[in-house]
Amino acid sequence: MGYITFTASGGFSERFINLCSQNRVILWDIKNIDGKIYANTSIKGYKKIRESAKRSSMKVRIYEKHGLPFFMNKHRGRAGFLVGLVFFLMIISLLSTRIWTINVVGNEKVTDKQVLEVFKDLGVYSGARISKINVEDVQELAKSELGDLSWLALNIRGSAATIEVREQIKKPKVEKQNPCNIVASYGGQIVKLEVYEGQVNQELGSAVAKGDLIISGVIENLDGSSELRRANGLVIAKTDRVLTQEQSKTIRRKVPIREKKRYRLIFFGLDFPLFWLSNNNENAVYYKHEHRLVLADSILPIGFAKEGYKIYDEYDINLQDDVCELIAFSDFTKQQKEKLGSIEILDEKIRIEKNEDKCNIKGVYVCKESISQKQEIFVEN
Amino acid sequence: MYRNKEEKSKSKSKVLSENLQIPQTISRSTAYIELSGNSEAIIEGCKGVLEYGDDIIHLNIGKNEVRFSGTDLVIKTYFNEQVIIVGNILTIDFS
Repeated sequence: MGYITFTASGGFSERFINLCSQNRVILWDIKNIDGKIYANTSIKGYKKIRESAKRSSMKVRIYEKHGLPFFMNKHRGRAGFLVGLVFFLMIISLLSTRIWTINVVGNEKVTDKQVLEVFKDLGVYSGARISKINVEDVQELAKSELGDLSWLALNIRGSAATIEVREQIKKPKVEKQNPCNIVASYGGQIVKLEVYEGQVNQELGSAVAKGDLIISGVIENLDGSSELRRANGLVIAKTDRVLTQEQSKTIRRKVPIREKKRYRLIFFGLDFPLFWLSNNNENAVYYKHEHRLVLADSILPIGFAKEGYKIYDEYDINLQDDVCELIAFSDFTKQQKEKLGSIEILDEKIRIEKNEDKCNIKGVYVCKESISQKQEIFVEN
Repeated sequence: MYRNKEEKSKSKSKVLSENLQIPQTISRSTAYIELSGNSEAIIEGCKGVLEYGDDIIHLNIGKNEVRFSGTDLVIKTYFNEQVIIVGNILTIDFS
């Protein structure tokens, strides 16, 4: 645990070294500097060295002391320091038996949160005791819980756990090959018609309403018999679409008027509050935000959380004309993107109407889009 | 004729190692010296240090004596008849 560097001088240095060897005293780094011997020996060895020194007429002096026993002896009067040191060593030894970080790798569709929640239920979480984790059992159970995975492994190295997953590649959906017709999914005028399979029922340029038959899956043969096929084709039509958006000039808004908050300390799975927090208001909304320490891209199980209640008050706000129009137009644009985003627009007319209470936006569009919709033919056996 | 039992057993072990063609160091009657370049020497079977300085280390290895001369010579360890010498070894003399 500790060793001593000593000096020996004044006598027969060679005899001294030989006597030490005979008395089974281990010496190392023996240097002869200007007739003075500098060497290292153990504490036990130094106690035995006196006899060799006496017989070789050497004077031995301690030069330096190294190691924990000397350090402890030096600080034996400082009880607080020793208690702190012991406490520190205990904390270190305790923390080294726990999981600090958990990383999930290899997942694309299954989220980290989903994986971590399942593992948490199985006892693998930040702060969990490593010795209590049965890796094989956890892997087996986690895989059955997370059904979308083809392979899963839990690797614990030191205090860091890594969950490696491989997701299943689902087999592609094969389109049913039952006989069907093609009908119009939206009313309009047909501008392009290509039939790949089936019997055409409409002409190019004809107007169709929603649900009208365009390509039939029932094919009549020359001998009068008929057979059922799966109709297939491309039907492009010119359609008229209308979008409207209404925005009231009076809106109801929630505004936070009061907030009660407190901080919580997170330490290896423990989560305890630092202050008192109470709430009597039923309408208060609870919130909690966690902040963890990050070390080299790893989230540590140490941090703090801020939680509290926000009390809101609801009241009406009267919007100015231009603000009302702006909100209405913003919502109208969103709606247009959602409904007509994938459709070619040939012409559009947008009208904005404003009155005392509200703002209306109406858009009339001439579009060019595919209106073919497959409709299965049910055959009674 | 052998003068004593020890000499007799040594001679026997020498004859045995010669006949079986195994290294004589196994019998421990001969010192074993291993060199790593000219910076380290391991000597097994050292019976004592005869002279020790930073430019010369003179050892008793039983029947012979060995003298290492050089610069900055240090005995790294000396225990159980094994000595490790480090430093800049320039010459080794046997006598």
